[in-house]
Amino acid sequence: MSEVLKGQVALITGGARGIGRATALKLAEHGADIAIVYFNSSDEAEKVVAEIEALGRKAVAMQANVADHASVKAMMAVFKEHFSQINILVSNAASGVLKPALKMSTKHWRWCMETNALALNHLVTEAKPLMPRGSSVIALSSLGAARAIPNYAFIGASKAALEALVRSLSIELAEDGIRVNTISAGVVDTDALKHFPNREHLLGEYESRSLAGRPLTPDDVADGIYLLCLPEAGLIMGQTVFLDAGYAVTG
Amino acid sequence: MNVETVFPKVRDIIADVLVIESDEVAMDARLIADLGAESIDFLDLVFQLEKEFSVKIPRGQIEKNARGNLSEAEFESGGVLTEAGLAALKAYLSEVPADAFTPNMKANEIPMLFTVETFCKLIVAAKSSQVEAEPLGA
Repeated sequence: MSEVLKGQVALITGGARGIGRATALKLAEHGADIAIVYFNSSDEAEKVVAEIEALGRKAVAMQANVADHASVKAMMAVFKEHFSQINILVSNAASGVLKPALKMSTKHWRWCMETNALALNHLVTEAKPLMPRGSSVIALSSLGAARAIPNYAFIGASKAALEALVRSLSIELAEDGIRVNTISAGVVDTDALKHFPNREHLLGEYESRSLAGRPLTPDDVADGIYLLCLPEAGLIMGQTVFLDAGYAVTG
Repeated sequence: MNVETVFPKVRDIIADVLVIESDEVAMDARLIADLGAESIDFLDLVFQLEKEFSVKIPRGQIEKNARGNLSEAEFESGGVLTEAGLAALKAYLSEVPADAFTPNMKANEIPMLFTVETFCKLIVAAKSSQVEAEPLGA
Protein backbone atom coordinates (compact mmCIF):
# COMPACT_ATOMS: atom_id res chain seq x y z
CA MET A 1 0.00 0.00 0.00
CA SER A 2 1.59 3.27 -1.13
CA GLU A 3 1.07 6.65 0.47
CA VAL A 4 1.29 8.63 -2.77
CA LEU A 5 -2.08 10.30 -2.15
CA LYS A 6 -1.65 10.77 1.60
CA GLY A 7 -3.25 13.98 2.83
CA GLN A 8 -5.43 14.22 -0.26
CA VAL A 9 -9.20 14.02 -0.33
CA ALA A 10 -11.14 12.40 -3.16
CA LEU A 11 -14.84 13.01 -3.77
CA ILE A 12 -16.40 10.27 -5.89
CA THR A 13 -19.97 10.30 -7.13
CA GLY A 14 -21.69 6.97 -7.67
CA GLY A 15 -19.14 5.72 -5.15
CA ALA A 16 -21.25 2.99 -3.58
CA ARG A 17 -21.10 0.51 -6.43
CA GLY A 18 -19.20 -0.66 -9.49
CA ILE A 19 -16.46 1.57 -10.88
CA GLY A 20 -17.06 4.28 -8.27
CA ARG A 21 -16.64 1.82 -5.43
CA ALA A 22 -13.48 0.33 -6.95
CA THR A 23 -12.10 3.86 -7.38
CA ALA A 24 -12.87 4.81 -3.79
CA LEU A 25 -11.02 1.76 -2.52
CA LYS A 26 -8.11 2.22 -4.94
CA LEU A 27 -7.51 5.84 -3.99
CA ALA A 28 -7.88 4.98 -0.30
CA GLU A 29 -5.31 2.20 -0.68
CA HIS A 30 -2.90 4.84 -1.93
CA GLY A 31 -3.51 7.15 1.00
CA ALA A 32 -6.45 9.38 0.11
CA ASP A 33 -9.35 10.12 2.40
CA ILE A 34 -12.64 9.55 0.65
CA ALA A 35 -16.08 11.10 0.35
CA ILE A 36 -18.50 9.06 -1.69
CA VAL A 37 -21.80 10.32 -3.02
CA TYR A 38 -24.75 7.99 -3.53
CA PHE A 39 -28.33 8.42 -4.75
CA ASN A 40 -30.30 5.28 -3.84
CA SER A 41 -27.62 2.86 -2.62
CA SER A 42 -27.51 3.63 1.10
CA ASP A 43 -26.68 0.07 2.18
CA GLU A 44 -23.84 -0.29 -0.32
CA ALA A 45 -22.50 3.17 0.57
CA GLU A 46 -22.25 2.25 4.23
CA LYS A 47 -20.30 -0.88 3.35
CA VAL A 48 -17.81 1.05 1.22
CA VAL A 49 -17.28 3.51 4.08
CA ALA A 50 -16.54 0.61 6.44
CA GLU A 51 -14.09 -0.92 3.93
CA ILE A 52 -12.23 2.37 3.55
CA GLU A 53 -12.09 2.91 7.29
CA ALA A 54 -10.63 -0.58 7.63
CA LEU A 55 -7.78 0.65 5.41
CA GLY A 56 -7.11 3.33 8.02
CA ARG A 57 -8.52 6.22 5.98
CA LYS A 58 -11.29 8.66 6.70
CA ALA A 59 -14.48 8.00 4.76
CA VAL A 60 -17.84 9.71 4.55
CA ALA A 61 -20.94 8.82 2.50
CA MET A 62 -23.29 11.59 1.42
CA GLN A 63 -26.60 11.37 -0.39
CA ALA A 64 -27.32 13.63 -3.34
CA ASN A 65 -28.98 13.87 -6.69
CA VAL A 66 -26.05 15.09 -8.79
CA ALA A 67 -28.43 16.23 -11.53
CA ASP A 68 -29.89 18.81 -9.16
CA HIS A 69 -27.71 21.82 -8.36
CA ALA A 70 -29.47 22.49 -5.04
CA SER A 71 -28.87 18.91 -3.97
CA VAL A 72 -25.17 19.13 -4.91
CA LYS A 73 -24.92 22.36 -2.90
CA ALA A 74 -26.50 20.71 0.13
CA MET A 75 -24.14 17.74 -0.26
CA MET A 76 -21.13 20.06 -0.34
CA ALA A 77 -22.30 21.67 2.90
CA VAL A 78 -22.17 18.23 4.51
CA PHE A 79 -18.79 17.60 2.89
CA LYS A 80 -17.37 20.76 4.49
CA GLU A 81 -18.33 19.47 7.93
CA HIS A 82 -15.83 16.67 7.40
CA PHE A 83 -13.15 17.95 5.01
CA SER A 84 -11.63 21.27 4.00
CA GLN A 85 -10.33 20.49 0.51
CA ILE A 86 -10.89 18.36 -2.58
CA ASN A 87 -7.83 17.17 -4.48
CA ILE A 88 -9.55 14.61 -6.66
CA LEU A 89 -13.08 14.88 -8.01
CA VAL A 90 -14.40 11.80 -9.81
CA SER A 91 -17.72 12.36 -11.57
CA ASN A 92 -18.80 8.78 -12.04
CA ALA A 93 -22.52 8.63 -11.21
CA ALA A 94 -24.62 7.88 -14.26
CA SER A 95 -28.16 6.91 -15.06
CA GLY A 96 -30.29 6.57 -18.11
CA VAL A 97 -33.15 5.11 -20.03
CA LEU A 98 -32.41 2.32 -22.46
CA LYS A 99 -34.78 2.60 -25.39
CA PRO A 100 -34.62 3.55 -29.07
CA ALA A 101 -34.38 7.32 -29.55
CA LEU A 102 -37.77 7.47 -31.25
CA LYS A 103 -39.43 5.98 -28.18
CA MET A 104 -37.91 8.56 -25.85
CA SER A 105 -39.44 11.65 -24.29
CA THR A 106 -38.12 15.06 -23.33
CA LYS A 107 -38.18 13.88 -19.74
CA HIS A 108 -35.82 11.00 -20.65
CA TRP A 109 -33.51 13.41 -22.46
CA ARG A 110 -33.33 15.67 -19.45
CA TRP A 111 -32.78 12.75 -17.08
CA CYS A 112 -29.83 11.47 -19.14
CA MET A 113 -28.29 14.85 -19.90
CA GLU A 114 -28.67 16.27 -16.41
CA THR A 115 -27.43 13.17 -14.57
CA ASN A 116 -24.61 12.30 -16.92
CA ALA A 117 -23.38 15.65 -18.25
CA LEU A 118 -24.78 18.63 -16.36
CA ALA A 119 -23.87 17.00 -13.03
CA LEU A 120 -20.19 17.57 -13.77
CA ASN A 121 -20.84 21.29 -14.06
CA HIS A 122 -22.74 21.36 -10.75
CA LEU A 123 -19.96 19.43 -9.05
CA VAL A 124 -17.12 21.53 -10.43
CA THR A 125 -18.99 24.77 -9.64
CA GLU A 126 -19.35 23.77 -6.00
CA ALA A 127 -16.04 21.96 -5.59
CA LYS A 128 -13.71 24.47 -7.28
CA PRO A 129 -13.36 26.81 -4.28
CA LEU A 130 -12.04 23.84 -2.31
CA MET A 131 -9.63 22.58 -4.96
CA PRO A 132 -5.97 23.60 -4.60
CA ARG A 133 -3.56 23.84 -7.56
CA GLY A 134 -2.57 20.40 -8.77
CA SER A 135 -6.06 19.00 -8.24
CA SER A 136 -7.63 16.70 -10.78
CA VAL A 137 -11.16 16.27 -12.06
CA ILE A 138 -11.99 13.01 -13.82
CA ALA A 139 -15.29 12.28 -15.54
CA LEU A 140 -16.36 8.79 -16.55
CA SER A 141 -17.63 8.34 -20.07
CA SER A 142 -18.29 5.35 -22.26
CA LEU A 143 -17.81 4.11 -25.80
CA GLY A 144 -21.37 5.23 -26.55
CA ALA A 145 -20.17 8.83 -26.76
CA ALA A 146 -18.71 8.15 -30.20
CA ARG A 147 -20.39 4.94 -31.35
CA ALA A 148 -23.97 3.87 -31.97
CA ILE A 149 -25.06 1.23 -29.47
CA PRO A 150 -28.65 -0.06 -29.68
CA ASN A 151 -31.00 1.59 -27.12
CA TYR A 152 -28.17 3.83 -25.94
CA ALA A 153 -29.10 6.92 -27.97
CA PHE A 154 -29.76 9.39 -25.16
CA ILE A 155 -27.06 8.07 -22.85
CA GLY A 156 -24.58 8.16 -25.72
CA ALA A 157 -25.60 11.75 -26.46
CA SER A 158 -25.15 12.65 -22.80
CA LYS A 159 -21.68 11.09 -22.73
CA ALA A 160 -20.70 13.01 -25.89
CA ALA A 161 -21.90 16.18 -24.15
CA LEU A 162 -19.91 15.22 -21.08
CA GLU A 163 -16.69 14.81 -23.07
CA ALA A 164 -17.21 18.18 -24.75
CA LEU A 165 -17.88 19.79 -21.37
CA VAL A 166 -14.66 18.28 -20.02
CA ARG A 167 -12.68 19.95 -22.80
CA SER A 168 -14.25 23.33 -22.05
CA LEU A 169 -13.80 22.99 -18.31
CA SER A 170 -10.16 22.07 -18.81
CA ILE A 171 -9.62 25.51 -20.38
CA GLU A 172 -11.63 27.29 -17.70
CA LEU A 173 -9.87 25.58 -14.81
CA ALA A 174 -6.35 25.64 -16.23
CA GLU A 175 -5.49 28.98 -14.66
CA ASP A 176 -6.35 27.53 -11.25
CA GLY A 177 -4.02 24.60 -11.86
CA ILE A 178 -6.88 22.11 -11.98
CA ARG A 179 -6.79 19.44 -14.66
CA VAL A 180 -9.97 18.00 -16.15
CA ASN A 181 -10.03 14.74 -18.11
CA THR A 182 -12.39 12.00 -19.16
CA ILE A 183 -11.83 8.30 -18.88
CA SER A 184 -13.85 6.40 -21.44
CA ALA A 185 -14.09 2.86 -20.23
CA GLY A 186 -14.80 -0.21 -22.33
CA VAL A 187 -17.55 -2.66 -21.46
CA VAL A 188 -17.34 -3.37 -17.74
CA ASP A 189 -19.69 -5.94 -16.24
CA THR A 190 -21.15 -3.88 -13.38
CA ASP A 191 -24.73 -3.68 -12.04
CA ALA A 192 -25.39 -1.01 -14.67
CA LEU A 193 -24.80 -3.49 -17.48
CA LYS A 194 -27.51 -5.80 -16.08
CA HIS A 195 -30.08 -3.28 -17.34
CA PHE A 196 -28.93 -3.74 -20.94
CA PRO A 197 -31.14 -6.17 -22.86
CA ASN A 198 -28.13 -6.82 -25.13
CA ARG A 199 -25.70 -7.35 -22.23
CA GLU A 200 -24.38 -10.70 -23.48
CA HIS A 201 -23.84 -9.32 -26.98
CA LEU A 202 -21.95 -6.28 -25.68
CA LEU A 203 -19.71 -8.44 -23.49
CA GLY A 204 -19.08 -10.88 -26.34
CA GLU A 205 -18.27 -8.10 -28.83
CA TYR A 206 -15.95 -6.50 -26.33
CA GLU A 207 -14.16 -9.73 -25.54
CA SER A 208 -13.65 -10.58 -29.20
CA ARG A 209 -11.86 -7.28 -29.90
CA SER A 210 -10.19 -6.55 -26.57
CA LEU A 211 -6.42 -6.90 -26.80
CA ALA A 212 -6.17 -7.96 -23.17
CA GLY A 213 -7.70 -11.42 -23.51
CA ARG A 214 -9.73 -10.98 -20.34
CA PRO A 215 -12.77 -9.00 -19.20
CA LEU A 216 -12.38 -5.37 -18.15
CA THR A 217 -13.05 -4.95 -14.43
CA PRO A 218 -14.00 -1.98 -12.26
CA ASP A 219 -10.51 -2.27 -10.74
CA ASP A 220 -8.93 -1.76 -14.17
CA VAL A 221 -10.85 1.49 -14.56
CA ALA A 222 -9.96 2.54 -11.02
CA ASP A 223 -6.30 1.97 -11.89
CA GLY A 224 -6.62 4.38 -14.82
CA ILE A 225 -8.29 6.99 -12.63
CA TYR A 226 -5.49 6.61 -10.11
CA LEU A 227 -2.87 7.20 -12.83
CA LEU A 228 -4.57 10.45 -13.87
CA CYS A 229 -4.41 11.64 -10.25
CA LEU A 230 -0.62 11.39 -10.09
CA PRO A 231 1.56 14.49 -10.52
CA GLU A 232 3.27 12.68 -13.39
CA ALA A 233 0.00 13.04 -15.32
CA GLY A 234 0.28 16.82 -14.86
CA LEU A 235 0.20 17.69 -18.54
CA ILE A 236 -2.65 15.38 -19.48
CA MET A 237 -5.40 17.96 -19.81
CA GLY A 238 -8.81 18.01 -21.47
CA GLN A 239 -8.35 14.52 -22.86
CA THR A 240 -10.63 11.58 -23.32
CA VAL A 241 -8.44 8.67 -22.29
CA PHE A 242 -9.71 5.35 -23.58
CA LEU A 243 -9.37 2.58 -21.04
CA ASP A 244 -10.69 -0.30 -23.05
CA ALA A 245 -7.86 -2.70 -23.88
CA GLY A 246 -7.72 -1.32 -27.40
CA TYR A 247 -11.40 -1.87 -28.25
CA ALA A 248 -11.91 1.62 -29.70
CA VAL A 249 -9.00 1.35 -32.11
CA THR A 250 -9.44 -2.20 -33.35
CA GLY A 251 -11.85 -3.95 -35.68
CA MET B 1 -47.16 7.49 12.72
CA ASN B 2 -49.36 5.53 10.34
CA VAL B 3 -50.29 5.32 6.69
CA GLU B 4 -52.84 8.14 7.03
CA THR B 5 -50.45 10.55 8.73
CA VAL B 6 -47.65 10.10 6.18
CA PHE B 7 -50.03 10.19 3.20
CA PRO B 8 -50.19 14.00 2.68
CA LYS B 9 -46.42 14.33 2.35
CA VAL B 10 -46.06 11.15 0.27
CA ARG B 11 -48.85 12.41 -2.01
CA ASP B 12 -47.12 15.76 -2.51
CA ILE B 13 -43.77 14.12 -3.25
CA ILE B 14 -45.32 11.71 -5.76
CA ALA B 15 -47.12 14.61 -7.43
CA ASP B 16 -43.87 16.57 -7.56
CA VAL B 17 -41.84 13.67 -9.00
CA LEU B 18 -44.48 12.78 -11.62
CA VAL B 19 -45.35 16.42 -12.35
CA ILE B 20 -49.06 15.92 -11.71
CA GLU B 21 -51.56 17.55 -9.36
CA SER B 22 -51.64 16.35 -5.75
CA ASP B 23 -55.36 15.63 -5.92
CA GLU B 24 -54.73 13.09 -8.68
CA VAL B 25 -52.69 11.04 -6.21
CA ALA B 26 -55.25 8.85 -4.45
CA MET B 27 -54.18 6.39 -1.76
CA ASP B 28 -55.12 3.42 -3.97
CA ALA B 29 -53.71 4.79 -7.23
CA ARG B 30 -51.21 2.49 -8.96
CA LEU B 31 -48.02 4.41 -9.70
CA ILE B 32 -47.33 2.93 -13.13
CA ALA B 33 -50.80 2.15 -14.53
CA ASP B 34 -52.73 5.08 -13.04
CA LEU B 35 -50.15 7.80 -12.52
CA GLY B 36 -47.78 7.07 -15.41
CA ALA B 37 -44.63 6.45 -13.35
CA GLU B 38 -41.56 4.96 -15.04
CA SER B 39 -38.47 3.28 -13.64
CA ILE B 40 -36.49 6.53 -13.37
CA ASP B 41 -39.37 8.04 -11.40
CA PHE B 42 -39.00 5.35 -8.75
CA LEU B 43 -35.33 6.30 -8.32
CA ASP B 44 -36.24 9.93 -7.80
CA LEU B 45 -39.24 9.08 -5.62
CA VAL B 46 -37.21 6.95 -3.22
CA PHE B 47 -34.55 9.67 -3.03
CA GLN B 48 -37.16 12.34 -2.20
CA LEU B 49 -38.89 10.12 0.37
CA GLU B 50 -35.60 9.28 2.08
CA LYS B 51 -34.78 12.98 2.34
CA GLU B 52 -38.22 14.10 3.50
CA PHE B 53 -38.68 11.43 6.15
CA SER B 54 -34.99 10.99 7.09
CA VAL B 55 -35.16 7.24 6.49
CA LYS B 56 -33.16 4.74 4.50
CA ILE B 57 -34.96 2.72 1.87
CA PRO B 58 -32.32 0.36 0.46
CA ARG B 59 -32.74 -0.80 -3.13
CA GLY B 60 -35.00 -3.83 -3.35
CA GLN B 61 -36.52 -3.14 0.08
CA ILE B 62 -40.13 -3.76 -0.96
CA GLU B 63 -39.22 -7.12 -2.45
CA LYS B 64 -37.17 -7.95 0.65
CA ASN B 65 -40.08 -7.03 2.91
CA ALA B 66 -42.43 -9.16 0.82
CA ARG B 67 -40.04 -12.12 0.82
CA GLY B 68 -39.97 -12.19 4.60
CA ASN B 69 -38.42 -15.49 5.68
CA LEU B 70 -38.29 -16.95 2.18
CA SER B 71 -34.90 -17.26 0.54
CA GLU B 72 -34.42 -15.63 -2.87
CA ALA B 73 -34.67 -19.08 -4.51
CA GLU B 74 -37.90 -19.81 -2.65
CA PHE B 75 -39.31 -16.44 -3.75
CA GLU B 76 -38.44 -16.53 -7.42
CA SER B 77 -36.99 -18.94 -9.92
CA GLY B 78 -35.49 -17.77 -13.21
CA GLY B 79 -37.12 -14.35 -12.78
CA VAL B 80 -40.60 -15.86 -12.23
CA LEU B 81 -42.29 -15.74 -8.83
CA THR B 82 -42.84 -19.13 -7.22
CA GLU B 83 -46.22 -20.04 -5.74
CA ALA B 84 -44.87 -19.31 -2.27
CA GLY B 85 -43.33 -16.08 -3.56
CA LEU B 86 -46.61 -14.92 -5.04
CA ALA B 87 -48.46 -15.75 -1.79
CA ALA B 88 -45.87 -13.81 0.25
CA LEU B 89 -46.11 -10.84 -2.10
CA LYS B 90 -49.91 -10.90 -1.91
CA ALA B 91 -49.79 -10.96 1.86
CA TYR B 92 -47.30 -8.09 2.05
CA LEU B 93 -49.01 -5.92 -0.58
CA SER B 94 -52.39 -6.33 1.11
CA GLU B 95 -53.49 -2.94 -0.22
CA VAL B 96 -53.33 -4.24 -3.81
CA PRO B 97 -56.49 -5.93 -5.22
CA ALA B 98 -56.06 -9.73 -5.25
CA ASP B 99 -56.76 -10.06 -8.98
CA ALA B 100 -53.62 -8.06 -9.75
CA PHE B 101 -51.47 -11.00 -8.68
CA THR B 102 -51.25 -13.35 -11.62
CA PRO B 103 -49.67 -16.82 -11.58
CA ASN B 104 -46.19 -16.95 -13.16
CA MET B 105 -45.80 -13.25 -12.59
CA LYS B 106 -42.23 -12.06 -13.20
CA ALA B 107 -40.21 -10.47 -10.42
CA ASN B 108 -39.54 -7.44 -12.59
CA GLU B 109 -43.30 -6.91 -12.89
CA ILE B 110 -43.67 -6.36 -9.14
CA PRO B 111 -43.41 -2.54 -9.45
CA MET B 112 -46.58 -2.62 -11.59
CA LEU B 113 -48.44 -3.50 -8.39
CA PHE B 114 -47.22 -0.60 -6.27
CA THR B 115 -49.83 1.86 -5.12
CA VAL B 116 -49.44 5.11 -3.24
CA GLU B 117 -50.27 3.18 -0.07
CA THR B 118 -47.35 0.81 -0.75
CA PHE B 119 -44.99 3.75 -0.35
CA CYS B 120 -46.84 5.08 2.70
CA LYS B 121 -46.43 1.66 4.32
CA LEU B 122 -42.75 1.61 3.38
CA ILE B 123 -42.19 4.92 5.17
CA VAL B 124 -44.10 3.80 8.27
CA ALA B 125 -42.04 0.58 8.41
CA ALA B 126 -38.74 2.43 7.88
CA LYS B 127 -39.65 4.92 10.61
CA SER B 128 -40.64 2.25 13.11
CA SER B 129 -37.47 0.20 12.50
CA GLN B 130 -35.54 3.43 13.13
CA VAL B 131 -37.21 3.80 16.55
CA GLU B 132 -36.38 0.19 17.41
CA ALA B 133 -32.75 0.74 16.41
CA GLU B 134 -32.44 3.75 18.71
CA PRO B 135 -30.18 2.77 21.62
CA LEU B 136 -31.79 2.79 25.06
CA GLY B 137 -31.09 5.88 27.10
CA ALA B 138 -29.77 7.78 24.10
